[in-house]
Amino acid sequence: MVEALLSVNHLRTALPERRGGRRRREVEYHEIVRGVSFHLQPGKVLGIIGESGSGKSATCLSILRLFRQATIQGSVQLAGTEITQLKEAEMRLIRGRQIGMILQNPASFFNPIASIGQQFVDTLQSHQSLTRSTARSIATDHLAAVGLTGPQQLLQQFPFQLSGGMLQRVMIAIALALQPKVLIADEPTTALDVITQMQILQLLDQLQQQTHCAILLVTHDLGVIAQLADDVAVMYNGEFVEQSPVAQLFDRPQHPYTRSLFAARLSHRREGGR
Amino acid sequence: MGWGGKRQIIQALREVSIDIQPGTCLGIVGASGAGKSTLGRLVLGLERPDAGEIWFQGEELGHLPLRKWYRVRQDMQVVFQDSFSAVNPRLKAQDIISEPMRNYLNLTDSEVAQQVIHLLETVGLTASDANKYPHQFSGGQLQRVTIARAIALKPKLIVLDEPVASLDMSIQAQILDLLLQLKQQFSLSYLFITHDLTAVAYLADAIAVMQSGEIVESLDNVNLNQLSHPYSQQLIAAQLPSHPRDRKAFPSNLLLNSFEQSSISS
Repeated sequence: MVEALLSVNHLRTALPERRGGRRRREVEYHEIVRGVSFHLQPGKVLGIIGESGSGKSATCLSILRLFRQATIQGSVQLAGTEITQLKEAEMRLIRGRQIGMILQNPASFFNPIASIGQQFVDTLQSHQSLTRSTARSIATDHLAAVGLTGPQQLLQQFPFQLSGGMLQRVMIAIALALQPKVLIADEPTTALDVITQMQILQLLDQLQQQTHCAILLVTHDLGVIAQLADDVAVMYNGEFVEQSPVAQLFDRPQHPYTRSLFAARLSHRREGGR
Repeated sequence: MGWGGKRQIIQALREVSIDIQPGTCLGIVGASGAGKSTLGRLVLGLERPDAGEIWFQGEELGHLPLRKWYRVRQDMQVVFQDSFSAVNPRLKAQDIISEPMRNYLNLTDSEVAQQVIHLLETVGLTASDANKYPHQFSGGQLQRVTIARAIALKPKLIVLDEPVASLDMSIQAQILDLLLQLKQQFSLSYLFITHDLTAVAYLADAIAVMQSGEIVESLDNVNLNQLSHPYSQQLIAAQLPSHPRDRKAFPSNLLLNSFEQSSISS
């Protein structure tokens, strides 16, 4: 068996909640990820499907250690090396280049007072030795690839000048340009139109063909899973309730929650034709 | 604007003609930037057309004086993609829903309160939701609140601008079901703007495909396999499969030729 690029074992994430009035300082921990385990193989896509609140984004943030207040337990190994105990400075070298990320709320990942170009180029240069002009050219190529027109002008703009959808695509462009070994993509195509959605999925597929990276694809959309995933984990209330190869999940979903996801799909609900 | 440079005029719509029959839903499909939302905004009177006419209930809206819009707005409502930015976060659901009634109808407070509860129940929420603030609702629930607001005055036409695009897939179906049921119950007409062909086939009675501000194809039914224009074909090819065995082969030209104008504001 090929060694997994990313191995997650019994991951548990809890968020503190203060209980009681102003004077009481009791803190209760609310578990949002409850013992999740999976392994990402090179050249394969693992899809995690679940609804909002299932813990899928929390899983991504926990792996990347971007969850400030959370308490995280369990093991995360990147190519055999345990990363859960690394210092923040070491994690920064891993994020982006080793473990790429496409996350929700892209605005919160950009520096509001630096231009897109500065951030893109700086990120590229911090991971590889490149001249500024090479880095700029890689940046404009990737911005164009994700369907953003006028990439040169875009480099000079600031995050506040772009819509959410555009920032999402910039984040995807940066993630792809870094060519990571493992890519975590959390709802990369939500709220993008169908054509852009297919383009983004095509880019992820292309990246995988070129670099044989592993992809963790988190989504609420069974169509995205059908198009790209090799294996699927169904997440509900912080746990995986079912895990199987993609065709098997679609042909014979076992868990009642999985079945309810399939039943909720649009094309299957209409009675009588039109 | 003060930044210097030339002001560019971008023609958002060219020679667009559509008809919506009473009690029916016209689906406008196309990718982002195609001009679909601009069309919706023109119909609602949020923008003025440079040329052409918009007829609604026997009145031409394009040149309607502002004071007459008051009456028109009673019959024409809108539901937007992002329910959170479509409501005042400091108002409770009951105030959000009752606002149009307080503006237009002469009802007592208790009549308004009763109507609010009735509307909440019509859209699948409960009376206890009346006291909640927007942040206390999920995306799907808040969208139901905006739908309740939209039907409060029993309008004739509702412009639905990507009403479910931001919602979880499982919730999308529920909201579209609700819209379908309301359309049948109240004989509503919809202008349904979306990029999702499956949603259009579900809710609409007729379809118009837009690309770069023009309607490239239209049908008076929703048999998508009758669509023949190359751009329609592209949209169909871009729909996600329902099973991995129907995985779409990524077309080599997809990355090159599907972009609509993408100005800084898109």
